[in-house]
Amino acid sequence: MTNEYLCNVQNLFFTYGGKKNNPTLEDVSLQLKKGEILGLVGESGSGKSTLAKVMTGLFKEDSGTVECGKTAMIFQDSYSALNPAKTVEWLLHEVQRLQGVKDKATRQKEILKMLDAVELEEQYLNHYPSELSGGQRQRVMIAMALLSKPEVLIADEPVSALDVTVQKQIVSLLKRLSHKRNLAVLFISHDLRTVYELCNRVIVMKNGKIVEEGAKNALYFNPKEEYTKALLTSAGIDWE
Amino acid sequence: MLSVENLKIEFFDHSLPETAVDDVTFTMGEGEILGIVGESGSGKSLTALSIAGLLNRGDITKSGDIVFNGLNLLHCKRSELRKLQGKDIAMIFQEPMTCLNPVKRIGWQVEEALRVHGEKDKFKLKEEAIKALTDAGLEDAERIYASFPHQLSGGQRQRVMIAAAMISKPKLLIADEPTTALDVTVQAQVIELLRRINREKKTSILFISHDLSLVRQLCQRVLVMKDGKIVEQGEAEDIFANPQEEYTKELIAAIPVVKKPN
Amino acid sequence: MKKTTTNKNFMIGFCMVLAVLVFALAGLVFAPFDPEEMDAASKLAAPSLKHLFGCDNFGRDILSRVQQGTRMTLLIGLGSTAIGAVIGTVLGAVMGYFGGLLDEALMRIIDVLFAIPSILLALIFISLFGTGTFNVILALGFAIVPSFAKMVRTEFMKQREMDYVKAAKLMGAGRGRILFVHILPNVMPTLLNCVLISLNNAVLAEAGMSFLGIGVQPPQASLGRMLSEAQGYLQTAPFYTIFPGLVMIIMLLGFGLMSEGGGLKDAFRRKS
Repeated sequence: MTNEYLCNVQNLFFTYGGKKNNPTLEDVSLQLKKGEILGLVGESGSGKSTLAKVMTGLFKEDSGTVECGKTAMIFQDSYSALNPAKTVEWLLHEVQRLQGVKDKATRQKEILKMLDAVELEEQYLNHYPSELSGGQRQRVMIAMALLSKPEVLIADEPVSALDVTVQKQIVSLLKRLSHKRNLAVLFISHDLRTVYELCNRVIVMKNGKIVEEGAKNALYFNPKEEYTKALLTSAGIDWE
Repeated sequence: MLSVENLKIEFFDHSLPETAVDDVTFTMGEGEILGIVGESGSGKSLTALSIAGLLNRGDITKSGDIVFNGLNLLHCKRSELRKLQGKDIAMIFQEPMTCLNPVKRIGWQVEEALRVHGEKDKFKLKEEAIKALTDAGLEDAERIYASFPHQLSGGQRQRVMIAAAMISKPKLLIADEPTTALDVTVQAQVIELLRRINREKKTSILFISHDLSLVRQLCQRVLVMKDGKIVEQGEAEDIFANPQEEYTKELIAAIPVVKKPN
Repeated sequence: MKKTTTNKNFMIGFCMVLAVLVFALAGLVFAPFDPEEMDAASKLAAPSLKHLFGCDNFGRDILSRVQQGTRMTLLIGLGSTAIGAVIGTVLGAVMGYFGGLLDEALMRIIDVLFAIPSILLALIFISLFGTGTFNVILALGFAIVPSFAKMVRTEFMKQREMDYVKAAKLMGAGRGRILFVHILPNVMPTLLNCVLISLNNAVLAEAGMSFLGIGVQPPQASLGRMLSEAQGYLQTAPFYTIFPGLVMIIMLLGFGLMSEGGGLKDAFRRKS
């Protein structure tokens, strides 16, 4: 099992504050392979962000198993996810310091390589997050995530707050990075169009449960569940 | 009905004046739904706010003309403007969380526009409010009338906002990204509601959004804005089928295409 | 436009404080007289070329005593604020970040302490441990702790919810590092303003305590002590009150202007 999947979640249950009667996540199972981009769609309250936090270990599951390779996470609100009091350079050093990379020159070399990978110019190193645009901040966050050398990247609505043209750039960047580094990506979003553009396989969640799961085209053009159909229709997607 | 001519908005809060809206000119007819599309910083919200008369700050200067039914909103007296606000011109916003007062009951907030414009009869107020809530697609209007904002979902709150805006039967409804914070299924319902309002009450709607696919669903005519300027305008279908400007093409290309593989 | 006025206020305040500091420290190098040397012949002598600020009821040179007293007042203000800020920040950070039972318990204690005026708290402390400069610093310092703890706690509770804290956790940063390397810099602007306000309060409180006779003990001078001694000669020798009072006003006004309108935030946050 573990050889085949980078990430294997089985029968996961989770409840906020331990109230057993109304679980936030109910019997969730999913697998992620190397180099795969899995889309997770659902509306607010569906539990998709909670799932991400359990998978990264920010929350502890009530029951079930979560076996994941090394994970890193990028967040929706790049304004809140980058420490406003620190420069980009400090943030990129800090990730590596916490990884135990003691030598400053080594860290600096890695940083320059990473900036190149996320297509951000070197001049932004001494900027504070508030001095960057939304797209640039998102690139910094991706660079930070990748510097911790993850096998699985969990992206919680990473483009929802961005302008459409910037969204497109970030989505294609994620696609390229996943290819080049054989990185598994769990892409969480409420935007079905973006998910279609980026992902190979898609999971639909509602009220803490997985409603439907399938390969992208099968799910988008041959949906089985009423809820999936309703979502597609609302997004103006002609699935019939 | 509404004509905006050479609207220019400048900020003076930094050492150099900054032009946020530059030479914007357009007109809107009775019963029309006009979309303004643009990304952040394009000046679309500022344009909307200045039409609603909500942009009066010491560090901003406005020039040009905004003429609504023969009255120049930019140069008229404040008292004349206030007679229109909430009566002939109403506005709904993006964040249904923050634009309802958390300590007031829904009913009171929906009635407020009528109360401000002189209606005193309590029974009449309540009757109108219930009717507006029902018209906005809220079943169980009696219960919602007595609720507080935090007891409602995001979609319900946005419907309450629409009810509060529509209660005085405005001629122009300005909707500034009214669906951005909502879930897709609720988004679709709110769009449908706006369409119905336009059809049944003949209210003109100025719909502002960064989402071209929504604008395409709802609007007859579209303005595309960038960096404070209108780069392209025309019939919605024409613009989508045959965009003239580079930027419009870019915007359309940015919408991911979901197409059945053959 | 707004920004420039707050910066101007900050600079004016800064200059005032700096002037007071230079004046006080200059006394270490060339005070005209020994501040404790009495000269019976010039009791309550009016300002003259020899004694620029005049002499007090024991014939001591007021200029030298004001210099010494300013140093003392500043020492007490800085010392007690430092104690209050450091202990209060650590307490508040831990309470705000971790929350839970510990926070609950400490919060109740702080609420109780808040109910008692800080000058009364200091008074209790002095009556337990005795007078003396060091004890005054300790007493005022501890009296300041609750207000710092409460302010820092609120700030940390706000910051705790930010995604960058989660991100740091995921990167493997330890609790101490998250608290003091990641979060604290974000609290700094607010904290620094509180330090300035608290400096003001400490200076005033010292004056009050000395006025009551439980602060600095004679023959040492402090601005509060001098004002207290001068009150009997307000009509015969007004200069005795005016000079220490003037220095105190300049100092307080300076701190006040510096902290006003978040001037510090601008001064400490680098602009691009």
